[in-house]
Amino acid sequence: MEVAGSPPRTAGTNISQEFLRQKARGLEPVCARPWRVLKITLNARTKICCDFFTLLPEFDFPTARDFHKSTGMWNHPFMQHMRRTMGTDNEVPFCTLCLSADKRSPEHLEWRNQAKADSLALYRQFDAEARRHKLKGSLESLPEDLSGYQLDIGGGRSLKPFTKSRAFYRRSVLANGFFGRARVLLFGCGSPTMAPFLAEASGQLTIADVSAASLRRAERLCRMFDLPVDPQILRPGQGIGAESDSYDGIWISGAMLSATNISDLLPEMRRLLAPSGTLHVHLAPAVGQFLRALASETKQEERQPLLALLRHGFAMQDRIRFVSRRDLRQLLRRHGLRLDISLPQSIIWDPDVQMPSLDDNRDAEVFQRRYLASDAQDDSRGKVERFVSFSAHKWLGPAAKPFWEVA
Amino acid sequence: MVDDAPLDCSGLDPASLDHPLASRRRGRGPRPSGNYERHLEFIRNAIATDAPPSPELIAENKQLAAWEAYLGIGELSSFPVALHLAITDVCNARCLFCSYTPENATNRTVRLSDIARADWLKFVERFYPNSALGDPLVHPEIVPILRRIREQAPFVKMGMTTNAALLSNEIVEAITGHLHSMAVSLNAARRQTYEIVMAPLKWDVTIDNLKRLTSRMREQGTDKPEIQGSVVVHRHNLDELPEMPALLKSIGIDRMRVLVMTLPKPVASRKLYGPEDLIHHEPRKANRIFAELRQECAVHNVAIVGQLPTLAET
Repeated sequence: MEVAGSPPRTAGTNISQEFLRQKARGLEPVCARPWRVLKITLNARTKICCDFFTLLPEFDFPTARDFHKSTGMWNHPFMQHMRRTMGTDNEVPFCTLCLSADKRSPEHLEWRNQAKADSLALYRQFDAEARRHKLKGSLESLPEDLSGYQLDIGGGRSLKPFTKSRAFYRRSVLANGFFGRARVLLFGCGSPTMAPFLAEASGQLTIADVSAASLRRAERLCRMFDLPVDPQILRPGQGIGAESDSYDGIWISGAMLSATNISDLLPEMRRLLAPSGTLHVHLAPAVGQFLRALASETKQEERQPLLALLRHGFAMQDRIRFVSRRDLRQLLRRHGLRLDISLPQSIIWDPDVQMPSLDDNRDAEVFQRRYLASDAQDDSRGKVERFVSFSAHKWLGPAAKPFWEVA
Repeated sequence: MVDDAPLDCSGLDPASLDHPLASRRRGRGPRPSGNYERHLEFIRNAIATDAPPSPELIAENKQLAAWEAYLGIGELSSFPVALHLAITDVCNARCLFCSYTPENATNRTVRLSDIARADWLKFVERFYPNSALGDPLVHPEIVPILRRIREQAPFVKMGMTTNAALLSNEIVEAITGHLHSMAVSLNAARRQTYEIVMAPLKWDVTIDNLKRLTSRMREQGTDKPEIQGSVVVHRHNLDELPEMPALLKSIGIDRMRVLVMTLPKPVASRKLYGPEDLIHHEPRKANRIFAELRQECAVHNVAIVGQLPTLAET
């Protein structure tokens, strides 16, 4: 299959190194890796060759009897598709590139990028289909584009909880490791968007917020899709009334970081998380939000408190105003959590937020040193991060025994 | 029966052939030996009866996988022939062609319960306790891991890729006569290039380690592990490639493999090689050097594993 826009194939030696031996023997390149090879990463994701376009489905270390189930990795629908179509007109585009040309050649860079993108879209399509059957509730009954959906919140009022497609939210849940978790806590429901998507993918979802109205909205939204949730109202000065190690995953709305005391919040989250549980902070305000407020503030006396906070940086504050990628690891480690560095932090850039002109040279210097010289700014595009999402894990410590010593 | 029919696959469940043969653009490779149905039956029985590990299990599974690939079957009944399992994602080298970054190392490990469930390891022919961007010898418990896998799947051929910088005496003892193959990432034939490309590793340490290993192999009269000197070739080590066979021979290694550099993903913490460092910019020169390398290999009696790259000169 020719990929649209791909350069014409050159016969002879213009072939990926993997198939040189076959070429030398005068054979047509044939790849048997999807039938023969399994590579398992430390995150239990999989590959079939080193230079592949994406990581394949999770591997759950089945027994020999369960190894070939279609719900597992080895016979995952995408793996079946890849094998079935190998060498046919419907082949996975990256396989076509690899088998037809030298995939490492810079001449084929554009083709390679296109093939990767097309193959990834195909993989996601199969993966979403495979997972769809494991989801609860009736979100499937909605159209793919959810931006038109309105939730009636009583009193003749309504709100639009979604702005993106269903696939977008589901991918967000999946990419952050919240698919199939048994016990999940959603902390902060001011925006109820993620509640139904977490509920459909989890065994049991608890939602918690300081606002009873927010809780009611989130619960109502979930029940609209036949998704039962357990609501918990939070009282000032009180933690969540659950036992330690109660949740396999905790999803925190980023706004809660600035609404609560960080010195209380993170230790409590750590307590609630089961060992190896995941904490995900979703869309925490970043320095761009703060700079935006600063830039729009014209009164010098009003700017001083903002500048003072910037000078200290968020990590010095009990109450977080904004999050910087640079300080995340330090902050989390201080509270016994480990930043998940295998997942890149997800950033929303704000092209409208620029370094404000500051009269105070010392403040300008602080900005430069602390934020703009760090990775808070995308230098190539002159944009500043506005929101940051990140994941962390409960620190198990070095005492964890190696697998062969555990009974 | 499949073994006598050219491509009509008579006797097969049509549902197992997942696409019409007429739509194929490429061939399906050489016909495997044996008989598809017999291999399938054997593996199904082995699963049902929880057959003990044996070389026969491995051979039958390999044949079944070959048949399934040949027939284009999507839903497999065979197990992987080769398994790569990451045991660490920490590496002691910062190779200029590799996207490894210590900030991204998680230091996670595999759990015993996962391994214990994997009773299918006995079907696997080759097992590589490697991760893509880590060095297995960095794992503090590498020796017990190798022993454990040997107990669970005694007939599996274990191999690893390493830079050999951490090849301690204990590890040498554990792998000599047991490990089937070891690809050593040397990536240079000269000290200066090595210490730039594979910083912060030291040339003398690595070479001494390898000499110790080959010496121990000679003492024990074993040819295991089969050591391969491995080179990822780019513009900065292309010229010295013909010097590799003499170097390897002096260490006691008689195999080498050459891989063309794949463009590494940029990382924030250091500058890696980029598109301008690929050998594809000098295809004529590269092909000439590969020809010289082939000659040097013949002179020093060093075998080339796999196929030497050949670049399109147009």
